[in-house]
Amino acid sequence: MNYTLEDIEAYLNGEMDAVQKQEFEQQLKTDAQLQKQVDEFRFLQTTIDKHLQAEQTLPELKKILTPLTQTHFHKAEQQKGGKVISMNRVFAAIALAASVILIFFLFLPGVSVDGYPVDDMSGAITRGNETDPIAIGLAKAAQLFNDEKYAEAVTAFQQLKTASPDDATINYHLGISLVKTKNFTYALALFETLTKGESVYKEDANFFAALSAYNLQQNDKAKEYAAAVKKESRYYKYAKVVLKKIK
Amino acid sequence: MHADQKYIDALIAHDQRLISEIYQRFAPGMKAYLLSRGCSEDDAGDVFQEALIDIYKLSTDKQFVLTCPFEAFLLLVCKRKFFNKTKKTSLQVVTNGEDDAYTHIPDDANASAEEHANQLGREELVMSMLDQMGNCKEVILKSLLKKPQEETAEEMGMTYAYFRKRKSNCMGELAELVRNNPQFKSLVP
Repeated sequence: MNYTLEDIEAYLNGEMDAVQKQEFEQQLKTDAQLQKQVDEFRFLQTTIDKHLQAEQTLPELKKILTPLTQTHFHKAEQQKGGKVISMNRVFAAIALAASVILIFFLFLPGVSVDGYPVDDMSGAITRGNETDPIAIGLAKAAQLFNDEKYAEAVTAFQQLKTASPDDATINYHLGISLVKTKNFTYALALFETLTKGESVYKEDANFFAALSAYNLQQNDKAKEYAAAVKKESRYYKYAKVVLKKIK
Repeated sequence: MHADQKYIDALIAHDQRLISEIYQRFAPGMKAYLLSRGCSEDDAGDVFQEALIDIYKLSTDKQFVLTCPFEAFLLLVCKRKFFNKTKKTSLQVVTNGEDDAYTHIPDDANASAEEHANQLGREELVMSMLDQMGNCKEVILKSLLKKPQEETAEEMGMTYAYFRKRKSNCMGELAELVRNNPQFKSLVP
């Protein structure tokens, strides 16, 4: 029997009765051409269906991606500045000189070692876990952290740590909250563990371990961790200040 | 399944924490790579975000299984996206130099990543060909809505029988377009 495109669709959409389906599948076993057509239709249908579904939820995802892209690719600064104006060579030279002077001053002794930047922590409420107590606790702790209520954040993170003692995100943000509330001993222990792990916080933890050790006057340790901060790190210049202060 | 499947699941679930981790882990390397190839910082951001959106679209039905490191897959998608961008504009690609920053990705991971990227490419081609199909596009898209087909047919001013026939013919046309597309052929294993 020669099946039409309509028949193939009816088969894929489960619209054939039992007898028709059996006959169709019988032919499908031996008819390579029909197999190919069915595979093609199935692929097209699932692809289009999937992409349609994705389009519906995409705006929600973009709300998460766009700010992160701006942060990691420095688009926010350019957008704030309005249209981009190309600099001529004189301006470029002035900008270069200004940068050199700025870098020079940043590395001078006396520059605050506490001027380091701290990123906001992402809230952790995810689709489907709006009622999960850990997710809710994490979102609350993140809010306290982002509002710079560090003493309260310490308490919130410590509660979360009881349930997830090895969670790098919790330990890292607890560590920073401890540094901010000057509990350097506990902070150092947390950051030392993070430097030995494989989390995304491993590199940044070197600086905070150095900072904590410096505040505890454990200079050898501070030196060791500060030296481990890589040149590409945004904490590199602050680590240099720690090293200068130790000397 | 590779352990990095968690990043695919994170995109599907809109998990802010793990999506932040994707940026923290992979954005610096990808940015450095793209800038070294002549891409602007702005374009690098667009490429990175669009690549994540493409991966999201590919995996949104929860059937996609990652069999290589996420970084290898993301790198390949970003590379192809950037290459396509350069074809559409007058942007010059810097072609000298090796992928120094990514020498840690094993060869078998690259092969697997290529398979995933090809699947993504095939699906993108289907959607772009559908986009060019005018009335057929409307018929196909409306037929996939989760509502009674009779209702959709009536809305489109067609009898149910004609709507079904039209839809099948449109799918047939799309299948032919896809089958004969040389780019699609190059992406078939």
